[in-house]
Amino acid sequence: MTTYSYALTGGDLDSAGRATSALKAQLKKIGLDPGVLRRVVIAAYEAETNVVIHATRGTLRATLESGYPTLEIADEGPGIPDLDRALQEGFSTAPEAARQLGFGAGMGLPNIRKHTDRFVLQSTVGQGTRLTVSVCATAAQTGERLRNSIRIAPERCKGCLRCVHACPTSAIRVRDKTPSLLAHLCVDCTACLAACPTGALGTACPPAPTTDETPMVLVVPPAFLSQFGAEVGPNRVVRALLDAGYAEVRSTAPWEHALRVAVGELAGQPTRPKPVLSPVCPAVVNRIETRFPSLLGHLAPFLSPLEAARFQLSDRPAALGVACPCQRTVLTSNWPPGLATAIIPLDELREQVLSRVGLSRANSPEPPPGRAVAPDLAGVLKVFGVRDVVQVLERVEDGTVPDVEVLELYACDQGCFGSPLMVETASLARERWRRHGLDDEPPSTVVRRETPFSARPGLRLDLDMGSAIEKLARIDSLTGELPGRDCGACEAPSCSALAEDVVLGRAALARCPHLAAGKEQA
Amino acid sequence: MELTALIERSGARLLTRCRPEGLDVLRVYGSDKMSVLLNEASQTTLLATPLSGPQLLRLAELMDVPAICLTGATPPPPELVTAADKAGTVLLHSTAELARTCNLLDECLRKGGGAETP
Repeated sequence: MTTYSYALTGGDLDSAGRATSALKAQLKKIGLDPGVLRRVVIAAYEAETNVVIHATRGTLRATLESGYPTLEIADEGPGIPDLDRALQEGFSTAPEAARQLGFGAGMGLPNIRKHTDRFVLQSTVGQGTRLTVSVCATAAQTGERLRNSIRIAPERCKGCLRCVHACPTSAIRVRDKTPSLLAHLCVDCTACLAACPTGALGTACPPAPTTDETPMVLVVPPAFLSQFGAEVGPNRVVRALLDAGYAEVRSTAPWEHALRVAVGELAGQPTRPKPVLSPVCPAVVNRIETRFPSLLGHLAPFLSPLEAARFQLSDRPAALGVACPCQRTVLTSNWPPGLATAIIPLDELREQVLSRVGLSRANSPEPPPGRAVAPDLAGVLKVFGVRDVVQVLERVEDGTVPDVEVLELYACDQGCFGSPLMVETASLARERWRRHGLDDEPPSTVVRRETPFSARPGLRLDLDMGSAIEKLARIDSLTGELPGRDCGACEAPSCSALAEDVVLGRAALARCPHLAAGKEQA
Repeated sequence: MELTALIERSGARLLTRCRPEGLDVLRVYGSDKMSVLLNEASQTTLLATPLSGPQLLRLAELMDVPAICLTGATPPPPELVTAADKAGTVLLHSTAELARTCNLLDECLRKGGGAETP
């Protein structure tokens, strides 16, 4: 880890930017990507200027870990009484002298937020302000994000091809009993994991917790809390996890509720395209970005519940249990590592609970069963399972769903309750959660996305439109030459998928055994 | 478009001794707010502004802008020009106010051929 530190002096506007200039020189020397450097410089300069205008002194500290620049700007100043107001564009308390120089337009903090991927602002009136921001260098440098968190264990594969046929985006090939993923097509749903009987496909191992600061707050999906049968309800699971050393255990239910309410409010706006699609399931969002870019405007511009939880807890040691590979992907691809947030495998959490449930039962009184969860809001249609989801999205794209205001689409059966990473029957676990949720969970708020949803180039055959059309014609032609059995013997899920593989150079036509046999007979 | 050609066509006055040769301009952006200028600054963006504080030079250095065009009837302070020379920042001056200057520079860029304008 590399660290650069600079002292800042308040009051001297002529000196504002000196620290940023020195930092820029260092970051250029180590060859930081120019696009990332630009964002870092903008954030640093705005923050440094704020310290000079408002505080008596401060420090600018930049750290580089695994290529991710993090800036920490702390000052001794008056502090900010109303953080929400301070983050509003146009709001400023800068003195007239600063305004005459073009500062004090109320755009500093919004600018910093716009150019960074993590933004934590803390302030104490009368003491000072601390701002911590990070820029995801690696993602920007490579121009691509980690697309999936599917882990492949080839030694466990028996070549049954169930995953090949289960994948809704034709993203899997199995050659020589070795599954492989076409990353540009994979939407990180759990269809292949659910189909795999041997565990050859699973969730990529999360990184170990990166902080020694314990105890942490733990956030888990409600589905996890109702995995332990009728005898062990969510409140007992929470107690067991507290026994394991977590300072606090929260479910994502309050963030789910906040998202649902906010999406419902959006749907009330007459200009909003209907139905409004909730971004509750990131795998479905991936599917929309890949296959239904025309529906991007229907997506409500909010973070998913787990992302929102991470965002709102990013200033304290926190751990998150993820229900599927996709949740892990969204938490690891857009956020710098090394933050005080860890992703914990559900298996590990399950072991922690099971090893302590008996202890809790013996040493402490049975906790109350928890109160029933509030019913879903009216006007929200929930759709479960990726195939149903795709069918509904096709209908929305055709404009034949005018009677639905809000759609909550989940890739898994019964939502996260049906994730292959859960062990309890989905419908039972869901019903148990509905009857006995957690007591007294603090309310949460929805978090608006700072990066808009955007189309993914997954289905494009070529960047050049003319070449793409030509390739499409060749695929159609080749598909017509193939037997149309969609048997999977060629290790592609269908004849059209093999044709695409051949045209795009991923496979040879000779992989089709029927075509080869036909030629031999002729 | 080369900055030298743009200066010639627009009639803006070159204030500094540091030479604009070899600098390319693809777009012009004007504002009287530092944050806006910071957001829009780039290696090929000519910034226009009625501001005249020394922080303009810092911004130019941080964002590698090719030049800054000061606008308005008031002559730029000589100490700013001296500091710009010292910092190696090219400063121009247009007596027209901000919007008019931006329109003029943008028009020159569009007619210049070969340059991409926003």
